Amino acid sequence: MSAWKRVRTRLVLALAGLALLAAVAAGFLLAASAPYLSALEVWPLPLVGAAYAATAAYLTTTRPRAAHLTALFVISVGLSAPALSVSLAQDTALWVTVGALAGLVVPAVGWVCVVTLRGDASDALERWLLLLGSALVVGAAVVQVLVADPAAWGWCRCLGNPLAVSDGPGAYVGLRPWLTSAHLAAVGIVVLAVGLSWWSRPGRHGIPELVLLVGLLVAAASWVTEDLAQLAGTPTDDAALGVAIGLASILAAHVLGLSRRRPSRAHVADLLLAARERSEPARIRELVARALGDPGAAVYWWDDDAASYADHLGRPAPPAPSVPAERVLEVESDHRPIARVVSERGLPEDPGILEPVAEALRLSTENRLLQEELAATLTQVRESRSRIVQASDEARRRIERNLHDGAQQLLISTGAKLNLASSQIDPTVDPGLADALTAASDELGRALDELRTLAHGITPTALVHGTLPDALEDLALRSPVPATLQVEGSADVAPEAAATAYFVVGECLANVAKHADASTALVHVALADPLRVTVRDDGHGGADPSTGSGLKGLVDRVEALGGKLEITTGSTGTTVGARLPNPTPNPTARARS
Amino acid sequence: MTVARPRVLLADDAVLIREGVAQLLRAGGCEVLASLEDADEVPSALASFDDIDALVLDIRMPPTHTDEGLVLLERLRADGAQIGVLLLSMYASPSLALRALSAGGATGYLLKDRIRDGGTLVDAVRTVSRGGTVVDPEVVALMLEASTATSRLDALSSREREVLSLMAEGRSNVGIAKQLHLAVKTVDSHVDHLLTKLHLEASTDEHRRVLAVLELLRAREA
Repeated sequence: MSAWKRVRTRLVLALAGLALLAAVAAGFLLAASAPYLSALEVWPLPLVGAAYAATAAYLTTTRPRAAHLTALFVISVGLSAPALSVSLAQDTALWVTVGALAGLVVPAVGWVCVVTLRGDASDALERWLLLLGSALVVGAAVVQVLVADPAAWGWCRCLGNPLAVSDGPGAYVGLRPWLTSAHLAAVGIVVLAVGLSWWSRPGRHGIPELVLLVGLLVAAASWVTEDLAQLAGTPTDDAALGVAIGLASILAAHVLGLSRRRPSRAHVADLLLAARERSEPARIRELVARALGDPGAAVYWWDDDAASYADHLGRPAPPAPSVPAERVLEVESDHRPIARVVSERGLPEDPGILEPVAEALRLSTENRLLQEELAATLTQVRESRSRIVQASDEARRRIERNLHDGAQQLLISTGAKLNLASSQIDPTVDPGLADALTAASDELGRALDELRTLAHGITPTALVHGTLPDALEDLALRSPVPATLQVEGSADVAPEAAATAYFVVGECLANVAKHADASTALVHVALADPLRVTVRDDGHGGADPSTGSGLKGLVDRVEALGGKLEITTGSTGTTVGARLPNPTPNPTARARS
Repeated sequence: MTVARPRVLLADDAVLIREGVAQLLRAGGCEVLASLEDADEVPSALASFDDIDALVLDIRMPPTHTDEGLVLLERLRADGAQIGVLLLSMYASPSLALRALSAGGATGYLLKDRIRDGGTLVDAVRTVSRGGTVVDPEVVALMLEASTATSRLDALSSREREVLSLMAEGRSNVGIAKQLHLAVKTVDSHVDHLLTKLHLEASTDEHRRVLAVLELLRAREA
C-alpha cells in the first residue's frame, strides 16, 4: 500500500516536472519562432500553466484524488498547448494534435473550481454537467484532429496534418463554426456547474470563494469573446491575457482554500443547528466537512434495512480495511450504528470538534427516526379509524339488505295472504273471524312500519335506491325548513363518502329545523374528488361542535374518512362544509355508473 | 275507459312478494300474463303479449339492487311506451316518486306495505292502466307535513289541498267525493280551482292532474 503510494507520489512529481518543463519550453519556443510578439503576448498562458503544474506537485503532500490531479495537469498542458503548437508547426506534424489539447482546459477548470468549493464530494448534478462539458470538448478536439487542414489558413507555412481523414480544407472550414460553438457551450455548462456548486455551499461569501468566482467569470468572458470573434470571422488573440488572469485567480483561490481548510469549532455550532432542524443529509455532510476542515470528508449513514452504510447519494461506504482507522469516525448510539465519517485528510485530534460532530449526527438520525415513527403511527391511526367506519357502514348495509330480503318480504307476503283469506270469507257468516283477520292485518301493518323505520335508522335507505343527489333530494324534500338542493359535477361517489355526505346533510338540516330559526336552507353538493357538501342557512347562528353530540359526531365521521368539516357561524346564519376524499372507483368494481 | 279486466305483467325478484302480488291481482280481477324475476326479462315479455294494460315493477331488482325498476320505466318512456307502470318500493322516497312521475303519465309509486290491502293495489293498477297517476299516501303525507312556505301550494285552501292529496293517491273525482262526503260537482269545482291556481290550464284533463301531483311533489323546490 505505502509502496504504491510512494510510486504514485513519484509519478505525480515526474509528471509535474514534465508539465513545468513543457510550459517553460513552450514560452521560449514561441518567443524564438515569433520574435515579433511581445513578452505579454507570449508568456501569460505558459506561466499560468507552469503554476498549475507546480500546484499539482505541491498537492502530493496531501492526498488528492486522481481526478483532481488530472484536472490540474490538463490545465497545465492545455495552457501551454497553443504556444507549443504554433512554435512547432514547421517542425513536427503533431502540432495540430497538440493544439487541440487547448480546449480541454475548460471542463478541467470547472472541476478545479468545484473541488475548491465543495471538496471532492460534489453533487451528482454538477458532476454530470462537468462530464457533459468534457464530452463536448473532447469530441470537438477529436474532430479537430481528424479534419484540421492547415490549408484553411492560406498564409500558414506549416506542415500538413497526417491524421486528417478529409480531403482538402472544405470539411474543416465547414466544421469550424460547430467546433467553436461546442467550446462556447462547454464554457456555459462549466459556469453553470460552478454556479450551482457555489450556491449550495454553506458560507459562500468568503474571500476565496469570491476570488474564484470572479476569476472564473473573467476567464469565461475571455473565452466567449474569443469564440464569438472566431464565429464572426475576425479571430483575436487579445483574450489570452484575460484567460491567464482568470485562471491565475482560480488557482490562487484553490491554493488558499486548500490551506485554509482547518477544523473549526465555530462550524460545529452550525452543524448542531442543522441537525436539530432536520436538514437534508447533503447539507449535513457539507457542514461536517467544514467542521472537520476537510471538504472531501464523506458521511455514510447506517441503513437498517440494507444493513450497510451509504452516503446521501446512495453510494456505499468504502470497506473498513481500505481506509486507515485514523481517518474514520464511527458514530454509534446505544451500540447501534448511526453513521461513519470518512475523512480524506485525517481527522482532527480536538475532541471539542469530534464529539459534537458525532452528537450532531446522532441527533439528526434520532430526529428522523422519531419523525418517521410518528408519521407511521399517525397513518395507522387514520387508517384504522377509516376502516372502522367502513366496516360499520358495510355491516349496516348488510343488515338492511337482510331485512329487505327476509323479514320485510315475509311480513308483506303474509299480509297478502291475510288479505286473500279475508276476501274469501263472508263477514255475515263469521263476523268474529273477519274482525280477527282485520286486526291481524293492522298489526302486521304496524310491524312493517316499525321495521321500515328501523331499516331507515340502520342505513340511509334513500342511498340504497339511488344516487347521492337523489338521497339528498329526499332530505331536502322532507326538511321542515324549506331547503333547496344544488348539484354540481357528475362524478361517481364512493359508498363511504356518499353515506357520510348524507349523514352530514341530514344532521345539518335537522339542526337548522331545531335550533337555527331559519327561513331557508341551501344544500350544495359538488360531485368530484374531493366530494364537497355545504349546508347554509339564514338563521341566527350559534352552532358549536363542542356542545351537543350531533356536530361532534359529524366531525369524527368526516375525519375518519380523511375529510374535513368546517363550521362557520354568525348572526347571518351557519354554514357547514364537508370535504370528503372520493377516489375514482375502479370501473369494474361498480356495476352501475 | 275503465278496463274491466286489466292485463298485467309483473316483475319482482322476491318470490314471496311476486306470488302474493300475483294472487291479489287475480283475486282483484286482473289477468296476470307473466311473473318475471328480473327487469331484463321485461322487454321481451312486453313484445310477446298483446294489449298489456299495466306493468307492476319492483324498484329494487338484480343486478345492483338499487333502482332497476325506475331505470326500466325511464327507458320505456324514452322509447315512447304509453303503458301504465306501477312501481313498488319498500321505502317512501319523495325523490323516487318525483323521478317516477317525471317520466310521464300513467305512472304509480306505491309502498309494498299496501299489498296488505289488496284493494289499494288493484285500484292503483287500474288507475295507471287508464293513464292515471298514483302516489303512495305516505309520500303524499310526507310532502304535506314538510313546510310549504315557499311553494305555490300556499295559494290553495285547506280543502283544495285535501283534494290534491287524494288526486295524488290516484283517486278520480267520484272517488274523492265519496271519501270527503261531498257532491261530485263540488269536487269538480275544487279540482278546477286548484288546477287554475297552480297555473295548469292549457292541457288535457289527465295531463293536468299529473302536473298537479308533480307540483305537490316539487312543492319544496318552487
